[in-house]
Amino acid sequence: MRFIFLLPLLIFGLLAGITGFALFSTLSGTRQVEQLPSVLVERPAPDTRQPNLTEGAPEVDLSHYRGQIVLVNFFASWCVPCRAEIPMLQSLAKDLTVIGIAYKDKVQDTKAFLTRFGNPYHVVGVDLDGRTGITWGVYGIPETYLIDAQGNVLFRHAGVVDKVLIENTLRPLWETAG
Amino acid sequence: MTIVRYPIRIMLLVLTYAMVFLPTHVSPVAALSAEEILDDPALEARARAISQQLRCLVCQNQSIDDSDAPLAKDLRSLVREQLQNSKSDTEILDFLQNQYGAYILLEPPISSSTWVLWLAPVMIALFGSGMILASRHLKSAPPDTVLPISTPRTSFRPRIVFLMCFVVLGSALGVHQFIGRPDLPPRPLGRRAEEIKILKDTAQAQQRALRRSFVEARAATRLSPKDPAAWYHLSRTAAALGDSETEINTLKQAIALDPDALALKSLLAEAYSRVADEQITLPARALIDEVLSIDSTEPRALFLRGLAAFQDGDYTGAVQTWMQLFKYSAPDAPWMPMVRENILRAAAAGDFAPPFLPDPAPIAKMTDVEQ
Repeated sequence: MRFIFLLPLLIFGLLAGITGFALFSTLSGTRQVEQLPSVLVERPAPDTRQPNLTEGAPEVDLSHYRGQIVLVNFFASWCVPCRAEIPMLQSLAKDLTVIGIAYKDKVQDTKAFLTRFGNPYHVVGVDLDGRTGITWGVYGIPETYLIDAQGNVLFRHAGVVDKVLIENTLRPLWETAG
Repeated sequence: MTIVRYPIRIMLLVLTYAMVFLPTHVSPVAALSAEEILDDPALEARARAISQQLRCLVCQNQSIDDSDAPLAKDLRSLVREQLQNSKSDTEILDFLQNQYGAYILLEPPISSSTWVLWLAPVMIALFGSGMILASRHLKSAPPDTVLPISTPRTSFRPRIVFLMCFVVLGSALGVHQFIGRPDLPPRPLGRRAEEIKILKDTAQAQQRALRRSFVEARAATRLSPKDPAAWYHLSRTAAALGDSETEINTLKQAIALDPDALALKSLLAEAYSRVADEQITLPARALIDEVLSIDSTEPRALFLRGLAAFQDGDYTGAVQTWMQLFKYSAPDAPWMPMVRENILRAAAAGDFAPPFLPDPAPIAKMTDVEQ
């Protein structure tokens, strides 16, 4: 009981330790705070049928792509980080079917965007009012979903796709799945 | 009597009551706009109640009822639409929880990962009351039978307070050192008015001179519209003015007149990237590949290829490309410091040791053509 006076200090130290650990692991990047978890992972991808960006072309129906590994990428012309990942999506298009969903974007804006920055997509579906985004649990684009041949979501990434993500996460996932 | 005797206790009591009984979530005026509101007041009331339970996933500490984020607006209208389709409150909450997870509920349900959260207040309250009881017990114990004289009891302990201050200030300082902004200018802006005015005047004079040379260059292209050099010159004056659209158009003209000029194509690739916030876009990459397939040592294209690799996160590739540029260029080429710096940056980003780089040579002045 002699050292009971040290108890507040001990509690303070403990709290400071916990918050300090959280702060520094966030700053050093080991703790991810910017990504919300997706509940879609390991569940069937939502049924998605969208109008095609190209007028007159048939609807973009995700179920037609059963049997192949598909990358679904939500993007928009107003989304600056979406520009940055286009070359990466282009490189992924060699191995996967990359489907774009233009999220809450005017059709002519999407078209101008793809002309200017390049079009890495196999096909682009239009989600004018963002409802499809909600059924996928999209909360901030760019968001990218990897879908296996059975139509299940393997992985979701919120943010720009980069080489590190492709080599460390996406490639192992689709290689074991396919 | 007691109030006068225990002012601090009374204050603490009031504060505790305030913390327990005041609503922690005082909602400001909802972000709702007029056209969202439903005609049926009962449905609208339910919509508001549901919206207040849902987290806006963009702002994350606001309900969708409070948030102005576009996603919050979409979710609000989804809730109202579902209500009009006579869905029950739980059906709607379940539907959204199914898409976004339990995180979308502002009050998380009790589960294996949240019971600590829910039990923590009870635990803290129990612990606190235990401490109070224990201290009462200590105080009421006859002093010289149970405790030695020297044992501290209820007296104020300056040494601990001093120590605590030291620890708090020290850790605050540490945090500031780590995430603070030591790079901000030490002098406030107001005291540098004169300096800023001189800078502004020079900038304006420069801008006027640039605009003059642009007008002259444009006149030259009108005189000789078949001369690629005139178009090239116009593109440079447009670039100096920061007019990237004109730069791109004039470069295209020059290339159309002189399709074999690789340097022009590299410049066009660079201009494409400049209008895309320095991202090396796919059209730019196509040009770079074309140039390098003919001349694998074209410095600007090599530099841009390295930059493209860097932006893709391929730091090894970036360093390799830039090392080639380093090898092919004269040691006093004007772009060498930039290449050197970029190689070091890529190595740092990729977390590997940079290759050996010879010491920088003094820089030759960039000739007009290289500019």
